[in-house]
Amino acid sequence: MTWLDRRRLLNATSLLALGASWYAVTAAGVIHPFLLPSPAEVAGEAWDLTRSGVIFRFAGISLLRVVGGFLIGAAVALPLGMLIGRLETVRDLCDPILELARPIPALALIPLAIAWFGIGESSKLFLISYAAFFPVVINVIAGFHAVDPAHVRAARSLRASEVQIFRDVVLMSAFPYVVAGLRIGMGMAFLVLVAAELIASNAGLGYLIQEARLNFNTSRIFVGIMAIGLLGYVLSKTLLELERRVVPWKYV
Amino acid sequence: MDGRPPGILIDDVRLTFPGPDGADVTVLGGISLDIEPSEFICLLGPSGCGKTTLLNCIAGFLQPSGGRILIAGAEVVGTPPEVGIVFQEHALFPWFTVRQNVEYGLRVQGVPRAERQRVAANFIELVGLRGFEHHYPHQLSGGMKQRVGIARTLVNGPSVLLMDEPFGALDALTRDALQEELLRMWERDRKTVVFVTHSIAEAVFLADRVIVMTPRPGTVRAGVKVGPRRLRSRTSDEFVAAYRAVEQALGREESLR
Repeated sequence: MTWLDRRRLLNATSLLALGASWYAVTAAGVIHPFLLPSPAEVAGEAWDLTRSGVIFRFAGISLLRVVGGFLIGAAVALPLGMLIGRLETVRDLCDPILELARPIPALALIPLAIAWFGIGESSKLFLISYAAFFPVVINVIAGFHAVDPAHVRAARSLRASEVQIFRDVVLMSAFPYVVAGLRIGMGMAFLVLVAAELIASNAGLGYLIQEARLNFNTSRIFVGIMAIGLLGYVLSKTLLELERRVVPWKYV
Repeated sequence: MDGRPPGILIDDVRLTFPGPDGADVTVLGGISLDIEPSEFICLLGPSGCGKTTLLNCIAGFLQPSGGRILIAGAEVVGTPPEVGIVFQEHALFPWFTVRQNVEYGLRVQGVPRAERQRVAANFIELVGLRGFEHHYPHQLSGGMKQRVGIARTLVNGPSVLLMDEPFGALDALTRDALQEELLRMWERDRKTVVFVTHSIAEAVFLADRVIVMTPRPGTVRAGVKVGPRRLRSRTSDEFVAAYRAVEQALGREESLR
């Protein structure tokens, strides 16, 4: 048996064990089904939400919010990070603000977001883009800072012009950092999503679990949580795979 | 390459940096050197003696604070067109494949794709890396990377080759092999070469003339001519005699300290 097989087997074992203990605990009746519904109830709820299409619609809406907020955050972070990474003056100007703002969790901004943008889409986009902004900007700065002077000299000695050096050396050196920053930024955006949707909304996976709580439907809460986990998993795997493809010199 | 490669005239070159305590630090203390066309020079000296700094001045990366450097009679300002540089630790572009690295010098000059691929293929063949065109640098061994570095420099057809401890990071066997390959290439087109090293054996094996430098501030301690290359092997009497002469030049300096 190869290592990979062994690993897969162990992975599957732990998932099965988790499911089995969940079933055992609920079947024994030690925990009230309101607190922990049985796997069968949750599966039934999941089936209902799938058949009606609600889960897909809500997942789609959530995904749209994540991507929208992420794009806004990245659109600000990319040029800013490039300027900070390349120009010392800009760095000295922006550093204190960035350092002060960075430790503030997006969740602490919820009241402010509501005051500024109301309870509609814009406050959600604001929070998500805020969360996505920092990992992107920090990685872009690091990327443009990481240019190896030896590479610049090598290009110059091969008679590359300054424009060619920027395109072929500076941008290429920064590229893996930028891509990693975008991936992490997307992850942060996703983490803030549910909180943003709890503010007040009538659609999305965050709304689904909030509404389920108000209706004492614990099974639905479980389905919502699992859907969020699954979506996040697929998203991060997809982005990682994308990263491997666009930065072949790091992964081939 | 048309005609003979140029010689290099280094005339009383000095270089001082402002030091941390305000006092100037002199790195190069007046170096004069007349390098003949097609001569293979090795700059040898303890680390910190300024041999790489001198090379960077010849390459046009650094501006001397005094004296001048002439290549083909023209003062060096920026990298002169006839100069190619092989870097310490190869400095390959990790985001390009072997072929993209080698053809880069042609690409930036707008040489059409088909033509530059043909030329690059020749040089990849020359350094024995056929079949590795589509590998990225991190997939190659240290010796292969430096071979790519040499090919990348040769593609532009330089007549003066500046090499900054190019084999310093390689294991002894690979190093010997690359030294021999380098000499074979040199025998073919007899470029003017300035090669920086801190290995006596490497200097004596490669050079027509070994320039022994003093510790900082770097000056020329001695120039040791090595006999005809065709008689040379790593164990010949000539090799050993030259090795001793260089060692002596270095050792005398050390006893002065």
